[in-house]
Amino acid sequence: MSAVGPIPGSAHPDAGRRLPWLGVRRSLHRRFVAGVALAAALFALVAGGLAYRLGAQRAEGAARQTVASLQAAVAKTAAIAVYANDTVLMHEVVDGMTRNPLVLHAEIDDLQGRPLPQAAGGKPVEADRAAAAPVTLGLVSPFDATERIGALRVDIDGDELGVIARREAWTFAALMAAQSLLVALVVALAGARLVSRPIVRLARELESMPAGSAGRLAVPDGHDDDEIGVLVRSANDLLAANAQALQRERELRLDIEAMEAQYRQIFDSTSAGIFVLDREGRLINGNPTVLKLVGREMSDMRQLRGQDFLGRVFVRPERVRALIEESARRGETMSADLELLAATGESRWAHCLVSVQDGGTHPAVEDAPGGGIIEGVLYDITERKRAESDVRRRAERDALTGTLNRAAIEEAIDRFLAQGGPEASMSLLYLDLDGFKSINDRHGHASGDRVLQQVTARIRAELRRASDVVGRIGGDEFLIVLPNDGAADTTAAHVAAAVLARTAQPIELDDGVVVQVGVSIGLASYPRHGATRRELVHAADEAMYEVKRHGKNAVASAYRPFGVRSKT
Amino acid sequence: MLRPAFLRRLLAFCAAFAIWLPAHADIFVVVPATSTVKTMTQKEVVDIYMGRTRAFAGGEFALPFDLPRDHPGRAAFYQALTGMGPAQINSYWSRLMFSGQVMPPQPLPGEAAMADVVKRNPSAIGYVLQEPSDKGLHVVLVLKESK
Repeated sequence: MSAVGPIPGSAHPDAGRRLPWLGVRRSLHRRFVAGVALAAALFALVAGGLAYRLGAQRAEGAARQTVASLQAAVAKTAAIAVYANDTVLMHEVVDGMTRNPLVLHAEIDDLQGRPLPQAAGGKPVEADRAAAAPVTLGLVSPFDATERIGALRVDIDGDELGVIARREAWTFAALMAAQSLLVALVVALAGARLVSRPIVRLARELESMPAGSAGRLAVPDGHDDDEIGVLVRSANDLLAANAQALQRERELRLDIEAMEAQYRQIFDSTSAGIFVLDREGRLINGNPTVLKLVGREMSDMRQLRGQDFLGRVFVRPERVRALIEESARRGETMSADLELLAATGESRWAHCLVSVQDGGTHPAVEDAPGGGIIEGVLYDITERKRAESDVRRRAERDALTGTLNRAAIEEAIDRFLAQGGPEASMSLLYLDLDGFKSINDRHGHASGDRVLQQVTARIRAELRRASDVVGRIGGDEFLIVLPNDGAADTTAAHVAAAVLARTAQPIELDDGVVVQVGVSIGLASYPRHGATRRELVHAADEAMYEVKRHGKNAVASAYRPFGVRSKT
Repeated sequence: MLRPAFLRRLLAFCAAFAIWLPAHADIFVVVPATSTVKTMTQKEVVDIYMGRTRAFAGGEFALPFDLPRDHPGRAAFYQALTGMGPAQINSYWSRLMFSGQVMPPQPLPGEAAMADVVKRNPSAIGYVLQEPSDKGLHVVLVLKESK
């Protein structure tokens, strides 16, 4: 943002160093006056010097003029005195001349240039006195202008002339200097009034005006049409533009703040957990919901920050990392349902969306190693997950016995066949109870159900691996799937024998009646007895049916190849 | 047969006659006939009358005589001699008389007195307004009266 800075020069860095100038560099007016004064002083000096010389010259000229006038005044008398050889009169003339302070020495010379007797006056002319050329006036006969009879010679007193010349010169120079200074004073006053004072005042006003102020400068009187007027109007335009820009900026900031508050509110209160990680998976920021999801307090945020987030939150962090890599590679948001490491022990699930952003916009990321950040959103899907699994269980399980129902066991077979490679093997046991129908008829359905539950428990007890599953596929028909158990193995046969023996144990009903059932078991193995579920189940069913025909309560393996029956 | 000297004199006379003829009135500067001075220039006359010298060109003492101040002949004389009016002449003398060193020519009561004094004084010099018939006087210069 562009604030109105201090007026340039108001804090001049040189200001302190130039003490002798008394702030001349900081004040336009003082500079102006100083400049005018300097110019005036220089001019006065030069003009004064010239005036001095001129004055001296004029003084000498005037002195000579004065002497010449004196001579002219006495010329006639002097000429008469010389003509009549009247020494007294000559002396009188010369003496009168020397009364003038300018005249050092006066004399009347004859035609040979020698002074006439008694016709010299004043001080003697010495060689060391200030030299001034003597003023000589030729004297002619009063009765014949063509006849020269002598000369009136006057020596000017150099010292006196110097004094007069200096006085004259000083007067002249002083006048010139005074005139220069007077002009300078007038110029300074006019400049101050017309230019510097308005500008100084404007500068002060402008300086004291806060940024964005609504104040405007006033055009000084009489400056409407000149440059100061232009300056003031331009400054006002700038001030207005500045204030407008500030106002806009303020509004924009308010908008942004409101928006930020809104987003912050959303961020803090949303039911989605939001987290931001650096490219190494360390937490940069997260909202309260994330912490709630993983069963932590908001105060744990500080200690989580900068830590490996994925490893502390997800049960299978490698899956999240894979998602992140996928997102970075494809430039899309990736999502998955993931189980969270819960502090409380109860497992929680979240739908997790992650996307990798290029660095540069997030301030926290600019220094982050690897560049870019990871944004993640977590939705708590624990309840949904639980509901889903309930539904699935209900769909897959036989309500009475809790074993898989027919569809589920068939699906389990299909899944195994789909996953299985070339080395895969599996065995199926097809079970059909002997004598169950008569118990049902004689003791009622409840007793029949009780028998079925008991048998199921006995079958389960004989299953040895977690992957072994049992399902009820009909009224008294069961199917046991033993994965990774081929025809060459004996496991299936052992399981079948154990189930056969255990099922044959008497079963005590609720009312104390003891009943007994048997079981006929058909065995088929993948891949020997079939390549598909249908073939395998059919083969096992055939083998069981064979047992039924031959006295029941036994185990029979399917024949190989198909169609050939064997009996154990 | 005429002698050259006579011819020269005659020529001079004729020339002089030709000069003064048109003038109204001439002024005649005279010395006693006994004086050695026979002729003078106007400048010599001026120098003597205006107090520059007290001697003739030959060195003899010269004693100038004047007419009275208010005599019309005096004004005519100075006018013809120096070109100055009586006021200027008086001014001139008053400056010199101030110092007392040089004195103006001594005035005589009239023309008759002038002729008489000059005739009897060998150093004298004077002037008359008519050509003197008196043998005791000798004209050294004729001044033509200026108009």
